[in-house]
Amino acid sequence: MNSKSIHPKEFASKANKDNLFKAIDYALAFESESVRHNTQTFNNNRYRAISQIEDYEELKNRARIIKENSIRNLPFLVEKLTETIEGRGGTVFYAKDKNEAVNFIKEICLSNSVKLAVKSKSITSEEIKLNETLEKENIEVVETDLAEFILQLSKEQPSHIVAPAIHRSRESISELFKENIKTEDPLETGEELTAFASKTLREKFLGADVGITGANLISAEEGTILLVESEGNIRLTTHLPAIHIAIAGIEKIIPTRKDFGVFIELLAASATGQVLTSYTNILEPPLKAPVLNLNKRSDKERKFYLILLDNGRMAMRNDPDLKEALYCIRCSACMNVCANFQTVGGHAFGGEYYTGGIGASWAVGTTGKLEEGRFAELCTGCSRCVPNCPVRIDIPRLNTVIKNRLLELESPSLQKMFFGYFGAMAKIVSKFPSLVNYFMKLNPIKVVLKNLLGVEIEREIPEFAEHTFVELYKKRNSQKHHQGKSEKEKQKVIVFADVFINYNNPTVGINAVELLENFGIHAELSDVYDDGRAALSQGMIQYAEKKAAQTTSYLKNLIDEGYDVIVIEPSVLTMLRNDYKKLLKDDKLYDVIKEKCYDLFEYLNMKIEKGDINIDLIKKNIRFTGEKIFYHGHCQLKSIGLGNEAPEFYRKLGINVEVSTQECCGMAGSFGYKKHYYKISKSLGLSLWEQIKNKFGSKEGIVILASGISCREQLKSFSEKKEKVYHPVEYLNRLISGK
Amino acid sequence: MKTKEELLKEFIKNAEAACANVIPVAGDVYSIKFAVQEITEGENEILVSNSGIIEQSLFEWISDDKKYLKYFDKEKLKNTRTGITPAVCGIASSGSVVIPILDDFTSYISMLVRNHIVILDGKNIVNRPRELFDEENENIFLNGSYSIITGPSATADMGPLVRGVHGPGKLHIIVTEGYDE
Ligand code: SF4
Ligand code: SF4
Repeated sequence: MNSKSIHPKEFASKANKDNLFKAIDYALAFESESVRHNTQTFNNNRYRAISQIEDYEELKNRARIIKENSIRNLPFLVEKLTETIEGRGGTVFYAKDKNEAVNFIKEICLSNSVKLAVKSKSITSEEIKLNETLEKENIEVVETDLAEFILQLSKEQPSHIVAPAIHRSRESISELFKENIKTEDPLETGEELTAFASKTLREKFLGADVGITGANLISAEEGTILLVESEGNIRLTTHLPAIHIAIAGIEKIIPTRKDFGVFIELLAASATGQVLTSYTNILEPPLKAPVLNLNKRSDKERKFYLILLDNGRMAMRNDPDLKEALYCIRCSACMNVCANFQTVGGHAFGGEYYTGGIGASWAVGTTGKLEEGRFAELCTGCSRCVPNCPVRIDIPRLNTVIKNRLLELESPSLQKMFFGYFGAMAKIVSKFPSLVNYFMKLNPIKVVLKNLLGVEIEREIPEFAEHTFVELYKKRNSQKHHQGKSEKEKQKVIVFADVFINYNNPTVGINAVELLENFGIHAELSDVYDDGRAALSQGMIQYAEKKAAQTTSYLKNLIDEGYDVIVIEPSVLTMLRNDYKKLLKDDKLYDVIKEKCYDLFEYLNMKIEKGDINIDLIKKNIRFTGEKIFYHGHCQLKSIGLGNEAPEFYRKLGINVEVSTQECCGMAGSFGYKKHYYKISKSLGLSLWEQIKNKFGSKEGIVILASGISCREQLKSFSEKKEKVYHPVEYLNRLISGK
Repeated sequence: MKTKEELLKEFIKNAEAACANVIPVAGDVYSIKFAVQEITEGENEILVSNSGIIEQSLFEWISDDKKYLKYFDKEKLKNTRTGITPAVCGIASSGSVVIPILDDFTSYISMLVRNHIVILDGKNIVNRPRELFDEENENIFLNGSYSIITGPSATADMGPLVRGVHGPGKLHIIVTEGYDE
């Protein structure tokens, strides 16, 4: 593929599956490097900025409540805002759809003899395809945000909601300018390109008849618009022309500007990682600033038009699931933190104008077409975005809902069923593990799997264990006599036999049981239950709900009998502690499960903290010879705040652990096995190894730890020296037993 | 609660981190004049707008020197490189200054010139951005239009971070350390 042989616009809409696959290939070939560099810079800055907001969690709660209330009271707020703006001499137009919106703006421009419009960045204006409409009327529309200026030249769609040209390097911008602009000015360095663009645009600002902006937020009570920017183009757009047209989705309205304080801090920190961006404009248009008429018009006074766009938003408000997307303040944190987005950017993980994990809901909501949200398939459900969203939107859930609705529309593919029914399938297959493992390695079978199920041929299918966790546990128990516990002293503990540990990784389970025993905790083993994770990640919500109900009714009985439940596989634990909230639809039951199901290391750390167990018991038995240890925390575990439990436990033993900064390993359950997504997954697998090499050089004797079964598979797949990758509990037991 | 001195110190640190040139002065008329002269050395014309925000007597020296223009037309506004405006308030945690949008040229100066000089009363510094919208500041910030300015205008859209895009490339903040003492 040649970057010029295909244009990103050709695959902007992802309604068609092939467009999604084409876009992934294109992005990986030509855009990945810039996107990764830029999103990771934003992401690192964001982490730094939020660490300086002491009450970050509380602020997010406040933001969420304000948005929830605003959406609930939306019709009232629309009315109030209209009254306020009109009371001040402005005009408000409620546009039911994009045609109404563009036609209204077109009419304003025609009746005011507008020839030149300057415009600041506004996704909402892209949603209604404003430029095309105005250009048809011979009105020149100039994008003044430099990223949008680039896109206007390249005719590309935005690849990111805050930095729409994030996919372009300086070199590619320089090339684009040179190809399209005749000038004597030098166009090489960032300074030269910026100087050229701002000089060109200054002329446009001075001559413009109308300024068009979006809005970050609008307060109904005062009719105040919040507009945040770095370049200063919004200030010129709203000051120089006497006519200001603002276009905003109705979801941008909040009750009062007193609430701006919460949002300006969250928005700047979450978007670009700053305390504030260069300009935070708080505007009550029409502005009082004198009309200059530098454009040689003779406008006597300022005019202000506010277009409030519905275009599917009221329908989203009535949709129990998609409603949550309306809380979005478009900060882009969910894109910058997303490993898949960092790899392909919004030309693949995005549609015609909305990008990233949150973009799919918006693409569906504003077009009314489910297929437009197909790029939700690139959401692995890793959930890294959830704790980083300033309004606490459950973005993976929104994407699961879209996947689910697509399944209903298009009927599930064999691939989805293959991965979604893993628990049921594993139960059967585990009766003949050797045979299945043998066949799975045969090339003809791999070809069949690829053609029939879309499984990537390069991937090794994880082996089924010869003996399941349950079998190994029973055998072990029959051979070993356990020291009984005196009833009053002991807390009953049970290890949950999830389908992944049971059928694929039983030794990890046995290691967990042994470690607990080393601390004097005798752990029983539960029956095998499919928790529904595999199905949920395919969008099979109803099946996942069924599995959740079965699993909880079993676990609830155990908890009632006084058991603490230890869950080894992170994706299962987060299912129980997080996803079950929505799957169970029974808050009381969910609270019981959430309260009593623990990560193994969380449990041990907690017991040490309480003084119930003595870490020195193990410390003196450990034979550690100073190996370099690297730990990759499981994405979902990090998102529920438990990413650091294992390294913390190691540190308590005096063992230092380097912790991965990659948000997700890229395997994400079944995602990395799917042939269309394999390359994204591979790119992330390689970058994780790159990080390990950067930390330790190519020294021998590095020990890699990962809690997630798919993280371990991923790390193993791309290890050059076939390094062994352990679950932290496995490695710890080796240190204790000296094996 | 931070003291005024602590807020001022934090303001200076964060404004500098945001790439503003901060000049703390005693706050008497001479110290302001001296600071302005130093920044504007070599400039022929400097636009000035006070909007009545900073005590008028502190600006009187401007009349002595013809290069400071209190009254100017829009062509001057368009073409002059340097301008002085007051700030109604500063923000310590972000190092920002708050410039009002009034019925004069204040906001225009703050966006059209290349070198923007801001005069800020060091006693008017709030701790965090959110405090601008607290009831306590009701009279000032709960109505009207403002721009909160944090450092020079900047972009990373062309690759590396570049300062000076559509707005001033240089932001100088002369902050008084208490002129009415
Ligand atoms: S859940 Fe993970 S993959 Fe999905 S949008 Fe969020 S960060 Fe991206
Ligand atoms: S969903 Fe949340 S994180 Fe993503 S852009 Fe919207 S507000 Fe920001």
